[in-house]
Amino acid sequence: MRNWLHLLLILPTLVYAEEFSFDISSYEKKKFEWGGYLEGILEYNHLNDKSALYNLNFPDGKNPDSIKRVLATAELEGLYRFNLSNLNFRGHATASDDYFGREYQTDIYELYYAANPNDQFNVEVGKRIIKWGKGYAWSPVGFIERPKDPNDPDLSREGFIIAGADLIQSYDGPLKTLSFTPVVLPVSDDINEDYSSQNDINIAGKLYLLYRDTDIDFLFLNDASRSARIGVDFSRNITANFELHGEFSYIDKQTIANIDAQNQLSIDQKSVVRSLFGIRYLTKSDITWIAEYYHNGAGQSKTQLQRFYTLAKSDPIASPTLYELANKARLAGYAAPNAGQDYLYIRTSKKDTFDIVYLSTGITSIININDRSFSLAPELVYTDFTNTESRLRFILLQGDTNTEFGEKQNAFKIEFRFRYYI
Amino acid sequence: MNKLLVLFLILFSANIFAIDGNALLVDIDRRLQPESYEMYRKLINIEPDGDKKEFVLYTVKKGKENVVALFLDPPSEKGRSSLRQSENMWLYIPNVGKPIRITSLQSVVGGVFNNSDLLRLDYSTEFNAEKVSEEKDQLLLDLKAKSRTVSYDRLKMWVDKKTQVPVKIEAYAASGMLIKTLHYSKLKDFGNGIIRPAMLETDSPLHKGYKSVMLFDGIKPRRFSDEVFTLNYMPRVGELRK
Repeated sequence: MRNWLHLLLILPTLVYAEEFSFDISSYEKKKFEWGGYLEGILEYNHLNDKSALYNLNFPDGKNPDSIKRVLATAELEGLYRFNLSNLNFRGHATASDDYFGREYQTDIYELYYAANPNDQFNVEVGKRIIKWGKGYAWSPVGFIERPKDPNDPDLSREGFIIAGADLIQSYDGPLKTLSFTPVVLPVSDDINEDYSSQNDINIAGKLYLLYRDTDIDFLFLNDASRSARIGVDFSRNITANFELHGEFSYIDKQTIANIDAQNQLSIDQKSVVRSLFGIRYLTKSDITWIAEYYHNGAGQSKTQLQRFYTLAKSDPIASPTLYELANKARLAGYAAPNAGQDYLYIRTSKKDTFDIVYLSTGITSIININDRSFSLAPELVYTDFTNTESRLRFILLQGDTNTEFGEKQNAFKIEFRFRYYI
Repeated sequence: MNKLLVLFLILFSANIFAIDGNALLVDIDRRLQPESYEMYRKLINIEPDGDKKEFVLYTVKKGKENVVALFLDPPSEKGRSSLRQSENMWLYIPNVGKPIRITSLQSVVGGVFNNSDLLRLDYSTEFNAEKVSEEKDQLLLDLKAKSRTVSYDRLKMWVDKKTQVPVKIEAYAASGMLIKTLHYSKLKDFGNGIIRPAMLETDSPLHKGYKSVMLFDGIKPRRFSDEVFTLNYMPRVGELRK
C-alpha cells in the first residue's frame, strides 16, 4: 500500500520527465544519414473538349470527359561522410496509372562527391542540382537547371552532371560576403544529352555579394551548347515584413520558333531579355503575399499563340498537314507551361488558418497578361500528424477562345497529395 | 561648503545604488550563453487537446549578429536551415535548393515561437534597458527595442537577483498589445561556467490554448569562421556538428 502511495506521489514527476526529455546523442553527426518521402497523388482532371490541346492529345476520337490519375512517388536521399568529404545521393521513382496506361520511371536526381577542406572552399563533382535566381515561380537566371513548374515551384528536380566549386570570403563593412561559384557542365552523346543536342563544354558562374543588406548575384554562361547569356539578380528586405527581389538576363542568339501567316513553321535566332520583379509581404494578420511579374523575351506573342491554337484545332483526318504542323509547333515549345511573354504570379497564404496550428490555406493565380487568361488554385495543407503532409488543391483554368489557359487540355483539376516523410 | 558636501554625497550615493540596466542586460546575456557558441534545442508545440509536435535544432552563433539554426528532426523538416545576419534572415529548404529571404515575424514551424525567437540575438544587441526596478527577490527590466526592425517593441524582463538569469519575459507590440509571455525554468549547469535555465515555455493571447516549450542542451562555447554565416554555407551547416 505504501509503495502504491509512493508511486502515486511521484507519478506526476515521471510524466513530466517523460514529456520533456531531450537526449542530444541521437542528433550528433553520423557516418551515414538518410531520409526522403513516400507520396501518393489522386487527381481528377475535368477536360475541356473544345480546347486546342485536347484536340492534340486525343486524336483517336474517343473523346473522354475526364481523366482520373493515380501517382505514387518515392524519393530517397542519403549522405555518407568520410574524412572532410561526403557522398550524396537522391533517387526519385514514380509509378502512374491513368487514361493513357501505366508508367514507371526511376531517376537519379543527384549523385555527387563533395569535398569541404575548409569553411571558405568546397568542391562538388557529379550529378547535382544547381538552382540560381531569386524568383519564386520563374528563374530567368537559372542558366543550368531544368525549368521549374510555376504551379509547384518547390518540387525537386533532376540535376545535371557538373564539376563546381564555392569560394566564400566574409568581410567587415558594407560588403559582408563575397563568393564565387564556377560550374563546368559537359555535354556529349552520353553525358547531359538532354541539356542540349550540341556537344560542348559549358562554363557558368555566379558571383554573389551581400552588400549593404542586399543579396546581389552576377551570373554568366558561355557560348557553347546553349547560346551565351549573362544575368543579375537581387533580393532585399525593405522592412522586416516586406521583401523585394528581381532577376534580369540577356540571352544572345536565342532560338525561337515562328509560325507565319501562311502557316509555315520556322526557327529564328534573336537576342532576348528575360526579367522578373517580385515582392514578398507579410501582413499584420500573418498573411503572406508573393507577387511576381515575369517577362520572357523568348516567349511567344499573343498572335503567335493564337496561330498555334488555330492550327491545333485542325481536324486530324480532314487537315492532316495542319494537324502535323501543330504537333511540330508543340515540340518547338508552343504548348510548354507559360509559353507566352508576360505573366503575373500572385500567391497568398496563411499559416495556422482559423487558429488551427498546422493548417495552411493558400490561393495561387498565374495570369497571362497578354491574353488575360489565368489559372486559379486554392489549396489546403495540413501537417498536424507527425511526418505527414496532406494537400488538397483545386486548379481552375479560365480564358477566352485562343488564349493560353482557355486552350489547355483541362477545364479544372482536383488533386489530393499525401506525403509521408521517412 | 556643507551644502556642497551634502549635495556631493547625495549624488555619489545615488550613483552607487543605481543599477546600470544595459550593463546588467549584457551580464544576463553572458549568463544565458557565451557570445559564440553551439547548442541543441528541442521545440515542442503543444495544442489545446494535448497533442504535441517536436522539432530539434542545432544552432551556432558568432558575435552580436550571426546565428544559424539547422533542423535535425522531424524528417519533414530535416535539413532546413535558417540564417540570421543582423536583421537579414534566410531559409534554406533542401528541395527548394536555394536560400530565400524570410521575415522575423513569420514562424517556420508554426506555433507560438516565431523566426526571431528561433534565431535570437543577445537581448543587449536588440534592446536598451530604460528602467530597472526591484520586486522582492527579482529585478524588473523595462526594455525598449533599439530599432523598428526588432520583432518586439518592448520587453518586460523579470530577473532572479541571486542567479541573474531571466525568470519571465513579456513581449509587447508597438501598440502596447501583449504578444507572448516567456517563462524560463529548470536551472542547469551546462559546464564551462554556464549555469542557466534549461527550459523556456511560452504562451500567447494570439494563440489561445496553445503552448510552446523549448529545451536547451549541449551549450558550449565555440569559435566559428565568419564564412559559416553565409548563404553558400547553409546546405553544409550540419557538418559543423562534432
